Amino acid sequence: MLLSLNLESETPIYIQLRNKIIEGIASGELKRGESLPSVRALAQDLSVNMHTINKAYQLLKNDGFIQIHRQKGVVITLDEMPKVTEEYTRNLEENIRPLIAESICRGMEREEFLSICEKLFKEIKKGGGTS
Amino acid sequence: MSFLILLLIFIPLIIITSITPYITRKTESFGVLIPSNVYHNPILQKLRKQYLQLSIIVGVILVGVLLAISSLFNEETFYATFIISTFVYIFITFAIYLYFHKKMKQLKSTEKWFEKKRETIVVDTNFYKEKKVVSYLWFILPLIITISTGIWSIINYDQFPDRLPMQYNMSGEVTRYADKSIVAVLSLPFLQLFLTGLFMFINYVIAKSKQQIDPANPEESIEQNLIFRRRWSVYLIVSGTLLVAMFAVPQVSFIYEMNLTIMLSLIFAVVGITLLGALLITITTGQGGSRVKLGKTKDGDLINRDDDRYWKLGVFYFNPEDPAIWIEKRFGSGWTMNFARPQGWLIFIVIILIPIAIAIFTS
Repeated sequence: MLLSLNLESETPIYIQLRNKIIEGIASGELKRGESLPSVRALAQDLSVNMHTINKAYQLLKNDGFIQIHRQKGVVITLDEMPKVTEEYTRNLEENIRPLIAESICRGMEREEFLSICEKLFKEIKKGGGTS
Repeated sequence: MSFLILLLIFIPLIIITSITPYITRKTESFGVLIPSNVYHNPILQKLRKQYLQLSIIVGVILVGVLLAISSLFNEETFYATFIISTFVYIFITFAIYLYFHKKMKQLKSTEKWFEKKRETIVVDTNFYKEKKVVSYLWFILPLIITISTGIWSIINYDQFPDRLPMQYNMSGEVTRYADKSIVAVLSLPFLQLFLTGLFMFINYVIAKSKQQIDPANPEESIEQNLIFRRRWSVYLIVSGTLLVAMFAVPQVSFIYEMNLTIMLSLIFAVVGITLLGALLITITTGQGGSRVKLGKTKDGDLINRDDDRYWKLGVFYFNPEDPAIWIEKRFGSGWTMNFARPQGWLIFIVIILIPIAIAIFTS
């Protein structure tokens, strides 16, 4: 999978990396059990400190998206993917809330907002929109 | 003979140096990062042409000086001048490069090439799973030659002369002898072993060096880069085996008298093939595969990370944050190292020390 990170974004690299990998899993571009580059290799290719990669991998591991083995290295989890929990729903609402609020302020209609969600859902499931 | 050396070593050096701006990636110009669509800008085309012309003129002048010396003085003077001229040429052309490097930096700060461009970095998570180099098993070839030379030398130990010629000048006279011993007899096989190890190590560097993808054109640049690595890896096996085989020739000549002209022609043939091969790959492939045409070139609004500040003078990579030790050159063909990494220096020193150790140990 091609990971592309925006270096001018306000979002830190490790968060972007985490998000891109999750998107890869969602779209099916990254399959279960597929191996990811080692911390060192990825740090080398992105020309960043190894801590940055470690942080991203730790986040993904704690959420249950990847497994880090001593020998096999980093792989997309073979166990079940993390489920929608109460905590997750709460988080989700918390994150979407300000976005909806701002959209309302800017005069966006409910339908328009939902159609954007719809579009993105489709796009990600199809594996498009990598940039 | 002096004419041959000029033709085989100095001329390829001039050609490789002069065409350098034409074989770099399209995202770099004289050690400065640019958006790939600026590469064909008329100003940049003019700069490349000027660099080419200047480097050729300096080269032609030095060839003239060398030819004059070869006709006026003896061979010794010629070889001394030849070696000095080589360094002089590298030094002068580097100064010329620096002039253009500065000019590029000025251009970059005044022109609005980066407006609306977004700095992005693209990596392929499967890059290291691809087959980028030939199998290490191929190194069995030079290894067989090395071991055979070694065993042959031990079996025929009695027939070696009591004083072994260790160093020749270019006219084939011995300038240094060593007393016969097992170690002294094995000095050339040791050298062959070192070379085989060195080539295996370079093959490793080719496989492991940092992936550099043009975000404006990711698919094509990945494919180009794989072709680039594979071609150099194949070249390494062929030229490496030839060079190792070449070192068996003087070893055999210790016992079986060989015609000096034949021996020297053999050596020149190997050196010539090696250099011309490198020149050919450089021209057809370009740095990072940039000259391989796959017809998929795209042109987007994305550009690579601007890491100019880590490239001192545009050629020396110094980035303490980056764990990479080996990286593709910015101005030139091949690989260089991250000078901020001590491991790189260590390996570098070991590579220089081994042949010196062999020379001291065996004499």
